[in-house]
Amino acid sequence: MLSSNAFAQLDKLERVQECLKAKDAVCAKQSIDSVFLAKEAYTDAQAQYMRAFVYYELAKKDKYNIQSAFRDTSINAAKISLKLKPDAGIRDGDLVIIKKHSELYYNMCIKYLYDSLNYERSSASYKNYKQLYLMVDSSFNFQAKDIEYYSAVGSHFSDLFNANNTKTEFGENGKIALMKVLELDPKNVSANINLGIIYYNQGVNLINSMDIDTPLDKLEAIQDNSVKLFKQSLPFMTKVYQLDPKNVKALESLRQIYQALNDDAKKEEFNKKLLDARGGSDK
Amino acid sequence: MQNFDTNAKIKAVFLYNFTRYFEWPEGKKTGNFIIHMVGKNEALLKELNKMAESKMVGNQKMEVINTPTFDGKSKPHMLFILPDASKSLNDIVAKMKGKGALIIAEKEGAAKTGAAINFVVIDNKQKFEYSKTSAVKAGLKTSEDFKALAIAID
Repeated sequence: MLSSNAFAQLDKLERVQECLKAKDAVCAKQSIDSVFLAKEAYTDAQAQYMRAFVYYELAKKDKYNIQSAFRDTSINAAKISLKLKPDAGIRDGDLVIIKKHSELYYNMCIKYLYDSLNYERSSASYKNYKQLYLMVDSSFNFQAKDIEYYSAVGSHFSDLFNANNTKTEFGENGKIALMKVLELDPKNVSANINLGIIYYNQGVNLINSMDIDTPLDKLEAIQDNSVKLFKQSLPFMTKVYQLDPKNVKALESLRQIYQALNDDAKKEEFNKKLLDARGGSDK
Repeated sequence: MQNFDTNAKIKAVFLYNFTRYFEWPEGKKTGNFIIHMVGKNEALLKELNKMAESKMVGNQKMEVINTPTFDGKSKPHMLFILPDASKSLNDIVAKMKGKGALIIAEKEGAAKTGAAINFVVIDNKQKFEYSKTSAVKAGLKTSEDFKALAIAID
């Protein structure tokens, strides 16, 4: 037999459902909060699931805000509900809520990247997406998703750095992300090209930005550093060339890198290969 | 990828530095400071023109001249013989002896055959050889500090 307290709790949960049916989120919140005034609610999988659901609805208005108390409450409640080993129906409901939050975090990581250029938040959102998705599918292989995300980060920051070379932090963010892509997929053409370009452009910037009256000893140090960067650029472009010897972008880049390295023979070699790849045209 | 000729900028920086380490004869301390580039290098020409717009040598304005060959009429302070014109280096050296022109080349062995300065590539970097004898023959005074910065030939 149910105790009077248990009856009261059931009534309140029914009230929550009525509020939800009426699409009255404020009423649903008040009702579920009142359920949790009783200690027993915290160990009740169904109450926790209802709480997760109500707060999920409330969190919708915080859509692209990484800091959402409603979302945090919803996720925590769904996690607790799952730990309480509920029946299959509630378990599935918990997982649906967690999956929806996970998907929202993925959308958020892309939005933070492109709209507000906040890599810290984008990266935190991506981490949250992965953590939550693992609860839905513990055997999920994130490799393809990691490549997709870090390629997006890498190429976005690489484009921004190439458009404005004074923003060195863009170049560094791009490099870190593209290195992650290459750890997972060493033959990734786009990541190799973008990394090669970032290193090359960093070398060019050192020279381009020096004053005409730079003293000779300082010029020597600048040349040392730029040569290091040009040499760091080489393996990435060479990799693309090895994978695709007719890749025009790689051939053009190798020609320019060897020119910057004062290697006329190699520069000429890649110039000829570039002309061949273009079918004899120098355009 | 940035389309920027780093070698041209580096050479321009070298050339500007050279103006600080040499003393030209009295007769060349008035009028424009003439840099004559013989041969073709559009990127370097652009860098030198940019330099001439913003810098002076003492109280002399810089003037850059570029021709495919050298006829001796320009009375330059610096005469840079580019690789595509280097066949005429010996003739130019003979023609300019004692005329107060710093002859700069970019050809293997040029510092041993009359150029005071010769650009070379070592470990992927641009450096320069220096022949004090050639500079003196050209009528220029130099400092010992300069020799320490170069690959000295004599």
